[in-house]
Amino acid sequence: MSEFLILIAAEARKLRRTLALGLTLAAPAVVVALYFVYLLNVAPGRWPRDGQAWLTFTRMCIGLWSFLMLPLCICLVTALLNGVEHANHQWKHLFALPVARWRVYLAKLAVASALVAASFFLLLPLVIAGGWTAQAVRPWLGFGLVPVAAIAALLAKTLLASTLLIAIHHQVSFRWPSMTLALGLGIVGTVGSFVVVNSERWGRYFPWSMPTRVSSGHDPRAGLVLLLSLAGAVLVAAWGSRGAERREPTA
Amino acid sequence: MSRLAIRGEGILRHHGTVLAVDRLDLRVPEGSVFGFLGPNGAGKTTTIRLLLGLLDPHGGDLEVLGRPMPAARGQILREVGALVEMPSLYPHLTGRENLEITRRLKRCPASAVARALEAVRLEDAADRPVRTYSLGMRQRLGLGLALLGDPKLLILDEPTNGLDPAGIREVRELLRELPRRSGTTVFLSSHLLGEVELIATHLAVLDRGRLRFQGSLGDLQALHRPQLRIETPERERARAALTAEGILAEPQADGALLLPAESHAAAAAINARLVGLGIPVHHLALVRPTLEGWFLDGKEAA
Repeated sequence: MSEFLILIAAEARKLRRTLALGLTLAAPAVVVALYFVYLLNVAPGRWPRDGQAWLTFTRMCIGLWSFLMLPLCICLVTALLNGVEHANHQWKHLFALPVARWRVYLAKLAVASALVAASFFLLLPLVIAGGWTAQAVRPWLGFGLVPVAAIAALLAKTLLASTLLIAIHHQVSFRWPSMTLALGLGIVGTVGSFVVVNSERWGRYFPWSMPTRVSSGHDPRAGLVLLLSLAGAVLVAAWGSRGAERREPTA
Repeated sequence: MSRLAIRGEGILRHHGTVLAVDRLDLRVPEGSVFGFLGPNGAGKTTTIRLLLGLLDPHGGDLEVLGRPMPAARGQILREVGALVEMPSLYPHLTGRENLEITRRLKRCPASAVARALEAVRLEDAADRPVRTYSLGMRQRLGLGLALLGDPKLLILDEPTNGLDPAGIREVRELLRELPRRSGTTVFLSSHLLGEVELIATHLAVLDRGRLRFQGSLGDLQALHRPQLRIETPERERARAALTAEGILAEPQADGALLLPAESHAAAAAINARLVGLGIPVHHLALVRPTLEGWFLDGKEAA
């Protein structure tokens, strides 16, 4: 097995009995549950009868997910992954092993990305289950055939639009041991996104707004947002890997 | 001349404006148990971090197992086991899981975990989360991590910290045995001369980043001769009597006299002489200078 795969397996093993896996499962479930409750209570006159029930429900869920829950989830997952090393003075042990430090950095980034992706993948069955159950209780909601491909494409694009956000949070959590700093950045970024997300000038360039710009379907240049997110993620990861190689662990 | 596991020449390392390691020349013979002594803050941990490539030197040349550090860090670390300061452990994982993670990263065979657990006597606690371990058990697990993969060089920073007397004895035996059993070179730091003397074959003493002594245990013992401490109410008479015998007795601040004496027989003869002259002797003991007393009061011996 290559060193990179061994490192990924080691990172996965370290997550046992941590909150990271629970968070991955719980965060999307909470979002879908909230909109499921909405579906059970929405007045008939306030629910569109345009045959787009599935896309409406999906955009609602992904909207809340990408705008609020996803940034905080990314913040917590990256902080947890790096926090197990900071909290237990592990860097000196890890970096005294015959593994390349830049690979350690990228393996942690890969595992953080995989956990976030798992949340996205989980959204798909949760949205479908939510829609079907609501339809069973309130048949007039108009959920017909599930447009699985369209929902999956929307989720996939939103995931790609979050890659820069994952890379930034990973870099901050890897570099600094302070959980306060990591959470502070997440909160400031998320609050900043409230202001910036609808700005035609800045919205598509602000990492915390990028997932919402893509998931909302309103940005005519969503392709550019995806490109910026991916290119930015590659740049941050390259910069972070280089920094990891030069790092002198103090703890 | 025997081959060297570690060779350092003029190693320099600053921490800001502080010179943590000052032109350090280090020669650690292969197969030795090398005691690296010095008080807290002397630069021992910085030196260990340099040996492991956790810090880069700001000057000088460093070779570990015949390869340049940090240039060949990856290759060197495959053959090195280390315990730096307090053990680095994941408390939410079991002892076995902690070992398993390091075993995979070091690419050791699966059997290495059981061997390490046996060596540090943690088989019974192996499947308990580390957060339930005592300080001594954590220290032993840290040692187990260092022992994984039968390293050629074992670098241990204060390895007996937190261990009870029985644990200290076990670790001592284990470290003494390693060079004989597998040819491992053991490099261990400590601030306790007496502790290191019991296991080390070679020693170095560091103070404020500078090397004050380096050599074999025999070299140290030649420098480190015992002295006879005498307490008497008639100190000046005793001193005059000893001077008349050609023995130079040094008065101490606490009222005692300190004089050279090689053996218990010599001590007994001096006692008999003083008592014979009617000088009462309250206390008589052969004492060894402490690490601080000998090396760190300016008596350079390198």
